[in-house]
Amino acid sequence: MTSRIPRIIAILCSASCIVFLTGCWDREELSDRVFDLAASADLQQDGTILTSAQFFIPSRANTTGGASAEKPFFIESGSGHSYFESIQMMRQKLSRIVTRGHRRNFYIGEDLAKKGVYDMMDAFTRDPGNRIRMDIWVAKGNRGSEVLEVPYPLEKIPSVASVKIHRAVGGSTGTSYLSFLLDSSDEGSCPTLPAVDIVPGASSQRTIRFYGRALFNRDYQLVGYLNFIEASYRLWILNGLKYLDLAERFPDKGGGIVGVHLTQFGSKVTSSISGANKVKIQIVLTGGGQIGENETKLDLSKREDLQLVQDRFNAKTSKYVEDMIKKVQKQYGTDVLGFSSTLNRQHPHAWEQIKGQWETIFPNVEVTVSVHLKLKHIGLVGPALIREK
Amino acid sequence: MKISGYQLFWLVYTLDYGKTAIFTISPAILAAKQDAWLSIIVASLIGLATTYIAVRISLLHPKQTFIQYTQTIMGKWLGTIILIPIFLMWIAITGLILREFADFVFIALFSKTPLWTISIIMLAAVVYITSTGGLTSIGRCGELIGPISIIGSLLIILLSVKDWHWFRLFPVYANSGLLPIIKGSLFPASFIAESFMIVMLIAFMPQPKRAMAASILGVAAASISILFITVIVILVFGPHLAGHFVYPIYSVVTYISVMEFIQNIDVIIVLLWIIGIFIKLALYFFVTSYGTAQLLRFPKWKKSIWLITPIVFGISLLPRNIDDTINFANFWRDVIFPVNLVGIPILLWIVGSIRKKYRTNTKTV
Repeated sequence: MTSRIPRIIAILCSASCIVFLTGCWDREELSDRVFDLAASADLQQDGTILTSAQFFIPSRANTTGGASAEKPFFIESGSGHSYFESIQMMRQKLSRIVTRGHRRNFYIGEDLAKKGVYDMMDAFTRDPGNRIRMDIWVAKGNRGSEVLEVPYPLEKIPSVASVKIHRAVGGSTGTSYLSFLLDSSDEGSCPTLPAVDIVPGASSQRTIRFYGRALFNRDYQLVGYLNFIEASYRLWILNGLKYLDLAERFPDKGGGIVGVHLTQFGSKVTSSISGANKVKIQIVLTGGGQIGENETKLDLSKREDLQLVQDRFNAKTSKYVEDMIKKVQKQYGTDVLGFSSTLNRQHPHAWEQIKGQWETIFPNVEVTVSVHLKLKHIGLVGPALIREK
Repeated sequence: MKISGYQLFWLVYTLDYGKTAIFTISPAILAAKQDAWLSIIVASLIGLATTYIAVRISLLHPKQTFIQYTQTIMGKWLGTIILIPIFLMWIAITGLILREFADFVFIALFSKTPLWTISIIMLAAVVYITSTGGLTSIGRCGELIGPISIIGSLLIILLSVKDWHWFRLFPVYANSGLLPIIKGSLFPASFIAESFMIVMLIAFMPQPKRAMAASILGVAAASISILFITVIVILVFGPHLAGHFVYPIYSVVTYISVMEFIQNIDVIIVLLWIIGIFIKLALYFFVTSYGTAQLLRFPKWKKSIWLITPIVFGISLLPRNIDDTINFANFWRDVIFPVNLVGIPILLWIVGSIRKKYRTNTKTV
């Protein structure tokens, strides 16, 4: 008797397993799904939101032999009074259920970004289908839906291009959504997003270009852009840069250009608060790299010539970085340089006092920048071969 | 039914680790910001203290379960009255763990399956293991599952290394202060103190002397794991964002991307969590059933399973939404934790040791 009851339960349990395990109850089959690869949101003239998305067509993806005539994707859109409603409108045109797990890119049109993206971000963070590891872009001077339509010759799916470009120019991918959320939740700091724009390509075709960084204020409204090199300087300060190419003209040494390729970066930000809310910030940037080109009469195998190049780069770059910081401070007044969190880390008690007025203090913060480059290699040749002629 | 000290260690570990790591980190970070790890340390100390007391009262009468020795210590009637809140707690928490399990699986995996189906499958497994082997089987499962959950957690830690930003832990203490740290510690502490359940388990140990080391080590190991998870959540998401995620460690795992190759491994954590919750639920279910049988003087304790199963299932259907479960968690922290897990054990410990001393004294005299 005692041994039979467990056996009966065991049989019942295994029988019920057959019911539960034989089919996929909840997940739809692959043929019922459509993969959303990239999407965009735009503000239309009548105030409605237009959402477009690039969908993957699996049957056309496996065409071997390079470019086929048929594109492996199509674009669909919907418009509504809110972000959510516009998606509903789009879904009315789709035969399958949208899966967002593979979406890597989301483009926001400039008009929408200027009006503010708070509502959109709310809809974004609520949706569990959105991966945290995603990039959100601002389409500079354009509509997000247009970026989706620009073909890119190297990639079958054009939206993959902007991620790859971002990585290829030394940024990190998949982090802009999270960093936007982090910056906007951090007291005092302002969020940013990477920006792309559409430029004429080499042929008649248009192409996507990585422009730089779009800056937002505390109300989630777009206030301006940093171009590519300025955005790189900002990333350098924030310790996020992977590599950077710099070029400098040497008019006194034959007028040519010396180019350096930097691969190692360091950044040290120290702050001090004195008296009546006077904040001073000192930034020391270090970099290591090699000479990429040398069109001057300098012989870089000589110690003093290399030192001269280094000094010139240090002085010039320091000035450029300072200019970028001034631009951010005076023109936009948005703290996208992490100064507020640096102050909080280094002077937590003083920060408690001044954090309410940070918006008025930030534009007047005194910033000094010093750059220290170490050029370790000069390339495969000593003095430029051209001079030997 | 017998369990060894080694099994007790793993049981305490899985009991304390999984649910605490998923549910209590977010409130702790919300209260104490980047100093939440200090909160966890405070919570661990509270947990260790309550565990110590629980083992000490059990060792006063090592051959009896909590149900029996409460009545021995406090007398039959007073003992029964004291047992009622504890008993209600055990039944309620069994149902609610079942519900929280179903909720999490519902959100993370099966958003269209009816909730009760998910609960019933788990309940069936729990009823099966309790009715066939009782504590022996649960102990064996714990021995197997505990190490797996440690390996899984290590995996998560290793894979998220490149997303760590150490400066997110700073400034230490300045942004929060003592009161928020203590406040943040209460929630995790109330969950870690669930190791109180060992009062029902020590009676099944052939060598009760090992109970102290096993339980304390189990709580310590679980606390260290929770501490690690908390620090990682802060390192990846920073204090402001982490406090707003419902399941922050789950979000960390969805964020993992190694070489653009290892991604979307969130199903691992769901799996780890499911097997962890299985142990916890089975333990509670066993304790409730066995306790009921002892309290109501059933000749065969397994009969009470059929009484407990429908009650537990009913309770798991009660919460209307996640708000209700959060309210219960607050109730647990504010009322059950101080009364049932701290107050009553201390009372029993004091009365029990006085009586024992008195009795040995009278014997020697």
